[in-house]
Amino acid sequence: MRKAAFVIGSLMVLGGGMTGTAGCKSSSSDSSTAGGAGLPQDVDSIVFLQRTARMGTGNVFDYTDYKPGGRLVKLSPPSADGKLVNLTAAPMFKDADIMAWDLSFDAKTIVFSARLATAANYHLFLIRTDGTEPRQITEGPNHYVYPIFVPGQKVMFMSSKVVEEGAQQFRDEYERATTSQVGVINMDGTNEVLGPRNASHRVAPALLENGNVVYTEWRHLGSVNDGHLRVMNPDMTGMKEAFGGEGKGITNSYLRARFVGSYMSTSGKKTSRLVAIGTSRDRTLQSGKVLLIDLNDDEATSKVTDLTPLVPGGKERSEKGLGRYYDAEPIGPAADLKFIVSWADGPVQSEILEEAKTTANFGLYVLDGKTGKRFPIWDDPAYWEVGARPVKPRVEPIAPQSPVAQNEKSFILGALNVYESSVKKIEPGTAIKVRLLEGFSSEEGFPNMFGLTEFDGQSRYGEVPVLADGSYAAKVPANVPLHQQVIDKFGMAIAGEDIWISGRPGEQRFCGGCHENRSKNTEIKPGSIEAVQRGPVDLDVPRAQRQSLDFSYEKIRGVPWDLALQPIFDAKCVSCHDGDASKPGNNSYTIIDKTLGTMQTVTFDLGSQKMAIVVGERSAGTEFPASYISVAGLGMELGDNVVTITGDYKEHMKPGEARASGIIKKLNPPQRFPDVNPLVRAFDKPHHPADVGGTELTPDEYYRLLLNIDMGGQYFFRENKRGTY
Amino acid sequence: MNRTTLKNTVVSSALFLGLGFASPALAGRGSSPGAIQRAIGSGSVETIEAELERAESLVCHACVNLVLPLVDHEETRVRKVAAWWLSRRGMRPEMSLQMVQRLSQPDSKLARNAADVLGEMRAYKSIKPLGAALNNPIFNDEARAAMARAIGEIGDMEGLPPLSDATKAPEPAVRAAALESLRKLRGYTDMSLAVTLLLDPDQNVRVEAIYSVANARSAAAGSASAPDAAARLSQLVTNDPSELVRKKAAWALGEIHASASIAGSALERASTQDSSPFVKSLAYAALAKLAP
Repeated sequence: MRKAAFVIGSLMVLGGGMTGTAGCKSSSSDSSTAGGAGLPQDVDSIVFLQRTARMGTGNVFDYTDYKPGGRLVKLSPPSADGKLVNLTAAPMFKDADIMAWDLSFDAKTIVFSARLATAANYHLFLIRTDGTEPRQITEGPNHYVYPIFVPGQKVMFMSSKVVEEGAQQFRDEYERATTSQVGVINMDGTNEVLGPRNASHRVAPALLENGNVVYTEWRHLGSVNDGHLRVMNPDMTGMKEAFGGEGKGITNSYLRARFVGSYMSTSGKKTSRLVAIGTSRDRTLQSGKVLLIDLNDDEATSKVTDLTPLVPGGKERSEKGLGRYYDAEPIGPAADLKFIVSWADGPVQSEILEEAKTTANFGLYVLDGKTGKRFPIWDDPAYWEVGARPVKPRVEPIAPQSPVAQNEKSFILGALNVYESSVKKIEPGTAIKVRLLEGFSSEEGFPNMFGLTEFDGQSRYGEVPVLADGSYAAKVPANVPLHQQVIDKFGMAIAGEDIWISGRPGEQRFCGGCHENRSKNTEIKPGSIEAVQRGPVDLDVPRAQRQSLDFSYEKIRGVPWDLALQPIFDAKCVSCHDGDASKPGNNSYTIIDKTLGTMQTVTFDLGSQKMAIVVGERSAGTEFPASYISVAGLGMELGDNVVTITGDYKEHMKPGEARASGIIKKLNPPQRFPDVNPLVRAFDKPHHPADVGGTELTPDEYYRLLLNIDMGGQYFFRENKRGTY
Repeated sequence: MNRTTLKNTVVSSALFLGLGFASPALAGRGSSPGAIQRAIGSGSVETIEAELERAESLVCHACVNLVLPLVDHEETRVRKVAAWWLSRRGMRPEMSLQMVQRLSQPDSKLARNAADVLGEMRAYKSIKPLGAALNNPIFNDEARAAMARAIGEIGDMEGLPPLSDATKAPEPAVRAAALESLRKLRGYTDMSLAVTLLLDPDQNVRVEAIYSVANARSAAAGSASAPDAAARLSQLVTNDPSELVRKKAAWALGEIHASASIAGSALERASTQDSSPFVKSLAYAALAKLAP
């Protein structure tokens, strides 16, 4: 049913006041309608989704929220007077939910992701643009979502199916939902290839003019927790940052990016302008601002323009007349800044809507990005209208690729010069090795957290030397998330971006440096790079072998607190650091938890006895020993503004940063590389416990502790994952 | 006195923020006691789930008492998210003990709920009691299916014996859940148990058996069960009355790269003659994956 509001509303200017019409859910209408106010002449029809209204989008990466009754429709012409045809009217699609779709380059075929009424999973289907010839091209107990056509008559998708046979798919940051990862399949359902994995979700891919694909990735490493934009080749190689990861963004997450146009950057390179939705990580029904993003040469020079400045970009209430946008599709010449948008009025915020016992209502509009005016196209209050695209052919780009070594099962990774970085300045001569770390989540059989810090599960592949020209190269398992840390001669990380990367089998990725400028050529001349001349250091071993055989420098992978560190404390520390506040070095502090009405005094204790925690609800109960709680601390778990900490509170550990951690400064490790040299210390101060007559830690013992902290300071690793309960 | 001095003292009742009070800017990820209360009050599964996830790090003692009853909620998803949330409050030891005790009493509903909690908490030490309860006929099929799924969630190979036994259970729901869980056991690649259930009289069991066989993927080629699997899947593609089963069987033949000599003709026929366009398209795609 067409919405009556569109024939009686008034023109809306974004940011301006609204004159609501009683009885009409939307007041953002213009009697002229979009047909005369923005749609290009060559757009004679549009296709869009009509989805049943929903509330269950807990975060911006949720993709499995099934509500029956969705359909894919074509509107010709795209106006309130147009004819609406249900393309999925066939009985097999009755009570289906369709979550995303795309149009082939010749505009004759549609691919969409639907969960049928008889199914438990979303799968990929194709139909002609007239709704005929339905085909299903994926099956099985996994989800296939967010399909797009990519060059070569292929469909790219995101799926919960795991690329690594015999392994379980990763879980998300909450350790609850199964993550979605990228894959590609032929249009006829043959040749399915699954891509490398992130430690959390990848969603909402879109094709760029140059054949690359932009997508949103849930970036979660340590305290980082956001959805930023990345790009990859359509063969799932060459994944790299695009926008949102280096502080240039204005919202937490960027969703449903779409290509607007190409332009020349200041360095003379062709680059892309995108439109995307900027929003909070949750509560906003995945909707927010419409943002124009100029990728420029790199994230440092990227630029974002807020086309809807009064619309909230966080999780706060959106006012009537402002609402929020679900998606935006560019139409017409790029310079016109016109978009078909899905927009809902009023408080598009899940908590408020729940309280009001109502739902958001997204309808279709044309948004003029220059004037801020919005013109209605279609809004049926029975549905969310989302994902509108003009039905017209487009040029199929030539697919770019990264170099791939045939018959190679590993991912070959390196840098031409680790000192080149837009993220962190590394002093010349200080980078000794690059440490490569594997990431995983609790699917390997962990309790639902790894310890008291925010970090994912990690395991050390090993370390490879930084050569004289600053280059390095390593061979690591393909398809597995990887974190790189540049380490100094003491074995401590001095640089490492908080991001997981991964590559396909045979993929060879040599960055110009650590997060170098995208506009620079990454050219590898034969014989010119030392790491290439020498060949990559092979760190690829089967999953079953990726556990510490012992905790020596050579063999250590995980650093389970109870197995790798507690013996050190028991032998060399606990005789003094025993929780007795009267002894020197046992700092004591008291936490008053104003929310609970409890208080707890923690005195530094490196003993192994389990310790109860009575402050902070995300406490460890009695699962962790005093040593872990004393070192990891409770401060980070208690949150802000609800506790008062008095006494001698010290941050003994800074998870992910051994060099900045109090306990490491106190111990003051000796030089580790190229040789152990006890005369050269990391910090200009005495080293403990020798300074008080104690027995110094061995080089391997130092390394275990600082490796644990550099890997996030967690308690559980593969070696002790079963836990106590 | 313990070496670490612990004091657990109620500072002041005035400091206690009850649920009815406006909440301060709390820790965590943006939830609040009021939001949890409202979410539970809404009765919406999605809302409760989303709110408790957001409250992952929320400091709220009163919320524990609010969430605790949700482990006996009628909806599985709510029971599970409640278990997850409570386990993040340091309640794993206490909850594990309580839930394992429930497996020794006769109420199937309480036992079902306990299984959901233990699975969500991935309580490794509950595998044995879950396994014993799984094959205890005192519990109904729903509870026993939940126990099977819990063992799968924990995912440790210690769960193999009870799950193997459960594939022979008289109740289809238990057999189906056991199959589903077997493929979640880390390191379990044997598809022989699933092959025997491909021709099960129950459609859901057949579907789970198909999924489990397909889960072997390229490893199936080295399995002694591969010819049997291909033959039975081909039989399903050709003869099963359910479109759902036929299309999944067709897909599975491709997943395990079945021998063309065994599966080729069934898939050829299905790709051109099946009454369902979905069976046709999936059979066509599977043909390209068959081993010569």
